[in-house]
Amino acid sequence: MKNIQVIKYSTDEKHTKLLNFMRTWAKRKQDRQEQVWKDYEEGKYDETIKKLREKKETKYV
Amino acid sequence: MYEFEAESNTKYTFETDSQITYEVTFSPMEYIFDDENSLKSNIYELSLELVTKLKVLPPKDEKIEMTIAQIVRHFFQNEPLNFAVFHVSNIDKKVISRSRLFSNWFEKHNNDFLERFEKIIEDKSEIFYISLILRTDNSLKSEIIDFFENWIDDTNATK
Repeated sequence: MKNIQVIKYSTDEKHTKLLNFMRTWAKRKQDRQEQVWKDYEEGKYDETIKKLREKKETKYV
Repeated sequence: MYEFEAESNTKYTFETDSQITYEVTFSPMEYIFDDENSLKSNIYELSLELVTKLKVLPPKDEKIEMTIAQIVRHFFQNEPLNFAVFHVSNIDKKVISRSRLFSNWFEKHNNDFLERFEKIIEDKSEIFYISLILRTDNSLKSEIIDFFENWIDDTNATK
């Protein structure tokens, strides 16, 4: 396989199905980003961020 | 490079000097295969999320790409048969520049440990970019590449 494969527009049914899959995938990705921001606002990352800052402090002591 | 926290080898978090937090995840993607497919347990989706919600673009910071490169290496170090697909979003119509950025980053930090293949799917008004990443020495390489090449035919994506 070449390192880059380009699939151009076609009216083939497979192309349509693949495009639909890609759209769903993109939407899922967007939803995941929204969920991460929601979790952040709810403080679900507080503990992890605290650990990361402690690691940073230890590194520079 | 920034320090990162790894959760079960699939979820990594790090914070920059500007106190911006990022999350890198490798999510199992077995749902695209039929039950019998032998690659089912090895496929992951690589994604990068901005944890901190910003009103402006984050500042350019070379340590971010170095950290992501190290995280990707960490993931593959322990799991030589795994492979990841990376999907560039077309939300803001910047697929080409984002995919180019990803390619440049990959070439800059890779050192031949990993290999990458790309697929660009173009429609009249949309473009999707997918990248396949796997270890150069992955013993399932030919099957994985064959899967990626025939993605349209071989997966639940079209069923």
